[in-house]
Amino acid sequence: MLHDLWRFRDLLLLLVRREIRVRYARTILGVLWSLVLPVAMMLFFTLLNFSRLVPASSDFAAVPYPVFAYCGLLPWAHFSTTLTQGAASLANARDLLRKSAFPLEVIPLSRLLALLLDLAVGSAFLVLLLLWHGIPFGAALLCLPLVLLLQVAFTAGVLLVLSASNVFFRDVAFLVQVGVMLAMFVTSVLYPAPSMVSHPWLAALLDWNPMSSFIDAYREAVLLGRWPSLALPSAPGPTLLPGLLAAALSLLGGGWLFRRLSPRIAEEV
Amino acid sequence: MPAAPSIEFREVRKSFRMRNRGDSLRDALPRLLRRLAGGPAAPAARFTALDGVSFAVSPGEVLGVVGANGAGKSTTLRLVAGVYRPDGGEVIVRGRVAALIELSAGFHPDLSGRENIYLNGALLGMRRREMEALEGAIVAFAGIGEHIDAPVRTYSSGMVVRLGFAVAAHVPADILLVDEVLSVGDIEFRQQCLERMTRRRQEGTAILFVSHNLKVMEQFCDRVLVVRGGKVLVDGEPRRSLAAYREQVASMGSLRAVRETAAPQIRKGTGEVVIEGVLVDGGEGTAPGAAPKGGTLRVGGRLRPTAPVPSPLVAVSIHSSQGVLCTRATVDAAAAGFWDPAEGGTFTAEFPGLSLHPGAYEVSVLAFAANAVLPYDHHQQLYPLEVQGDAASIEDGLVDLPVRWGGSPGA
Repeated sequence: MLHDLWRFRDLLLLLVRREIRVRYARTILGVLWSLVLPVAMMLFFTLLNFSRLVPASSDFAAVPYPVFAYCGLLPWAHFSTTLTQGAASLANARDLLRKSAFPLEVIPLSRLLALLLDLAVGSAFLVLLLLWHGIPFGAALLCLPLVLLLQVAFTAGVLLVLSASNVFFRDVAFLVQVGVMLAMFVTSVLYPAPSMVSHPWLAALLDWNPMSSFIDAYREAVLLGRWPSLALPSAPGPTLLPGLLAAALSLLGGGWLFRRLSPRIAEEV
Repeated sequence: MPAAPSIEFREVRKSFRMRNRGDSLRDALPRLLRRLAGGPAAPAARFTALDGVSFAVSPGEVLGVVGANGAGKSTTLRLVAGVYRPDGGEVIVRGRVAALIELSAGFHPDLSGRENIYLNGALLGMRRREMEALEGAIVAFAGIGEHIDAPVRTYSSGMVVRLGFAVAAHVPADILLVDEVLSVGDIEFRQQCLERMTRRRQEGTAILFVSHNLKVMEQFCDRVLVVRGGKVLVDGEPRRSLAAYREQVASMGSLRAVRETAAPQIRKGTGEVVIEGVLVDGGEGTAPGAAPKGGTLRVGGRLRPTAPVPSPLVAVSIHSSQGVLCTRATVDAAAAGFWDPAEGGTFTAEFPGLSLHPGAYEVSVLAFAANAVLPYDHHQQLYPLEVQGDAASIEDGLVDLPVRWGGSPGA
C-alpha cells in the first residue's frame, strides 16, 4: 500500500492542490473562511459563559476562556471537517475511479491533507491570541508536530473506513454528520469532558477518548508549557497514551479494511 | 520465440450486483441480522457482463472489439485497465496501460485543460517531470488553441475528447485502450487519431480499440473480436469477424433484441414509439439487405406506440460505409396514412431506380416528434445494405447522377 501511494505521490499532491484551489475559488474571503467557524464558536461560547464549565480546581481555570476554547476548537475543526467532507469523497469521485487504476486512498487522503492548510491559518490566529493575552511560548511547543502527526494518523484511519463504507451504504455520510456533532460534546473541546459526568464508568470511558487526549496535549503544551506523558489516563496530567493507541489502531485497521474493500469500490460506486 | 502477449484473458468471468437492492443500511441490517442468526444468505441478483472470455493481444497488435451495447465491451476495457477485477479466470496485463474509457471521465471541470493534462498523467502514475516533457506535444495534438488554459467545464464535448485522446495517446504505455473516440470528433480529428495510433502500434504498443465505425475497424485492426451477451462470438481476421457481426445484426430482424440488452441510459430514444421488424429488401431474387443498382430498394417496418403520442415523423437514411450521409427521406406518419394513435402502423419507403454506386451502405430508421430533443426510437446505421452491380465498373463516388456526355473532336 505504501509503495503504491509513493508511486502515485504526484497524483496525491495534484489532488491536494486541486482541493485547495477549488474549495475557496470565487469567494471573497478565500482561505480566511476557514477561520470563521472556530472564531465564531469561540466568541459564541464565551458569551454564553461556558467558562463556568471549567472546574475551579483545573489548572486551566486561570487561562482566559476564549484561548482555552480556541485551543480545542481548532484541532476539532480539522477532525470534524475532514470526516464530514471526506466521508462522501469516494462516492463523489465516480468519474475518476472508473477511469484508471490507482490507489484509491489518495481521494479521501487528499481531502484530509488539503484541510491542513485551514489548520495552519487557524494556528496563525492562535499565535495572535497568545501574544494578545501575553501567554509565553515554552519548549513544550516542540511536541506539537508529534501530537498533530498522531491526530492526522487517527483521523486518516477513521476517514478511510467511513469513505469506503459510504460507497456501499450512502447512509454513512449522514451518520457522520450526526456523530461528529454529538462527539464534540463528549470531547474536551469546550470543557474538560470527563469532569462533566458523575458516573465513574462513563468518566473513565471519556478518559480514553483519543481526540480529548490530543486536545489536552495541545492545551497543556501551549497554555501551560507542560509536556504530555504516556501514563495511564487515570494518572494526573495530560497523557498521549489513548491518542497513541488509537492512532496506531485506526491507521492499521482502517488501512486494512480499505484495502479489502477497494477492489469492489470502482464497481459499486 | 514471439514476445509474451501484452494482454491475456483466460476464461474471464465478471458479474455485477444489480442496483437498488441492499443499497441502504435499512435493507442491509436486517439481512445481516438474519445471517448472524444462521439464516440462509439471500441470493443477490447479479448481472453477468462477461461469461468465460478468452483472447490475447500481442505487442504492436490492434484488436478491435465490436458488439451491441451491453455486450461487455466496456467491462473488458475496465478489466484491462485494472479498474475491475475478474470474478473468475485470469486477466494478465504486461506493462503500463493508458486508457480513454468513457469520454469525459477523469477530467476535473474546474481545472484548466492544461492542469487536467497533469491530473490525467498522474492518474496513470506519471511523474510531474515526465508530463512536463510531454505537455507541448499533447497541447499541439489536441489543437484547441487558447482554450487549453480555460476551465474544462467551458469545453464542448468534442474538445474534451480531443484532449482526452491526446493525453492517452502520448503517455508512454505498453497498452492503449481506446473507447469510441471516432464517433465524436470530426473527420480530420479521426484521421489524426488513426495516424497517431498507427505510430503507437509501430512502436510496439498493443491497442484495444472499441468503435461502432465498422469501416475503420476493418482497415485498422489486425483482428476483431465480436462479443455478444458476455461471450466471444468470433475472434479472427477483421473481414471475417465483421461479416459475422453484420450477419448477426441483420439476423435479428428487429433490433429489439439488441436494444433490450442495452442499459437504458445509453439506449437511444424515449421508446414512446418503438420501431420493429425492419426489413431492407431489394426485390425478388436478392438476399435480405442487398439491392441491385438501378433496382428498387424497399425499407419497411412497424411503428408501435407505447404511450399516447401525436403522429411521429419517420425518417429513413442511408449512410456510406465511411459514415457519409447519402440521403434522408422524412415523412409525417399520419399525413402519409399509416398511423393509428392506438395501433401504430406499418410503413415502407421505396427508392426506385436506386442511384447508388455498388458497395456497402448502412440504413438508419428513426421515429421522432417534430420539436422533441430525444427521438422516440433510433436504429442508427444498424441495417447493412449492399448495393450490387458490375464489379468491374470504373464509376466512382457516392451517387450515380444521370449524366449526358457531349463534345466534339479537334481544337
